[in-house]
Amino acid sequence: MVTASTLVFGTFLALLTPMLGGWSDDWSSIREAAGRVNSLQAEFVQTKTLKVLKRPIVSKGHLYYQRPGKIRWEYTSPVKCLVILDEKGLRRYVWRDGAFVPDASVQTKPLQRVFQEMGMWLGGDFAGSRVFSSTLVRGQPAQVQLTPRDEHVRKYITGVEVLLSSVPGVVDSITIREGPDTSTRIAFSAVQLNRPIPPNLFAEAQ
Amino acid sequence: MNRAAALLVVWQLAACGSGLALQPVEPKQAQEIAERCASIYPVLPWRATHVVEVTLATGQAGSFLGVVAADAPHKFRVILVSPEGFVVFDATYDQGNITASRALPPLDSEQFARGMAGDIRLMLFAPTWPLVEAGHTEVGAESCRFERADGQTMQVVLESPERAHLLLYAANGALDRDGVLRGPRKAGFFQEMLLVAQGPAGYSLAMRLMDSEVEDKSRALSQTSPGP
Repeated sequence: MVTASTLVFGTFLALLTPMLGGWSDDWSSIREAAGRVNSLQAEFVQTKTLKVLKRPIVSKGHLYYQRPGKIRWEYTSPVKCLVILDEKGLRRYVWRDGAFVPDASVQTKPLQRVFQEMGMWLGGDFAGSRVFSSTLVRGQPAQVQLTPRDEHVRKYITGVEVLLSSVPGVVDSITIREGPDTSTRIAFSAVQLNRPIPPNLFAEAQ
Repeated sequence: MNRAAALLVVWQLAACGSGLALQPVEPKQAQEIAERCASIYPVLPWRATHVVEVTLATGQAGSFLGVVAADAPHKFRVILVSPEGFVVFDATYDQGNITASRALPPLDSEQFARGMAGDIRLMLFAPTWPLVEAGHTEVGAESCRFERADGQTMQVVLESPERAHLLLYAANGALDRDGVLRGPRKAGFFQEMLLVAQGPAGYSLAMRLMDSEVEDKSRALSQTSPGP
């Protein structure tokens, strides 16, 4: 039950927030706040919605991000697999017989492009993309809408929405749309900022 | 010719066919076995999502989330989603024709599309080829043999209520596909399906059931197209 004091405090906060100014008010504030994030660790839930299915496909895993562009994207269920992006490029692995082995199922170039973009978004760089044009939609929470510039990319991705968290420099969720009824939403939780990440997590499939 | 005589003739014709030798049974029992062979497949229409693990003969490996939406024995749609959530293959199989609306390399060859459609039909759809034999294997398992006009044969072996063996033979008698369906069934689907494709370009598939939907006719496949 909402008490009178809760209501008053909530109203006070709501009034105070615009006066303080949000970290997501403009591109430079976003870049500045994200710039203070050198590393990020989080859990994620990926929800794949297909028109043909009543229920979405739900995957879970862990994300490790190290500025400027190292990503370890590790799925724990339902498919145990791993994506590592660093200065050497993108490497994908699948779990077989108790160990990660290189994944040869799809060509990694398009995926590399998407993961590179994700690295930029996690780093607060939305305006610098050559692949997407970006629009900031102010609000609580603020949202960045990304539209593919290139016709070829638009064949596969019609748009991306990045929901910014109330925590400065943090992304709350990313939704990638492949069509009117097909989307992939990645929601982050248990986010830890600027905690040391062992370098070998980005170097080895372990 | 009555039904019993017809079955007797096909048993004799099939005596030198491919696959495990079957001990003949009475026509009524053969009919019952045939019905049980057909009962291992989910009842149409349905949707199923599997984790698909592919391992090539070269040792290369890949994983997908595989969605199959089926409305009829000769009509289904298959969507392969990468673990990262991207649709990498989307095709519809209809009366032997395959139309891909999306196929990213290296999944963009017709050979891949045909092979995958054949594997899905083998594991998830009751055979539509003529039944030529139903009986018991040497170890007493119930089994059915189906044969196509070109000489390809398929054998279903019911090893237990939770395990069935599928064998597909080429016209020359060589084993082409060796599949196992196993685990408790949910809405008509086995929990696991394993398939080995023989030959130098061979591969193995391990499919684990994630989710299944038994569809009502009002939400037919045609209403869910186009697009993924």
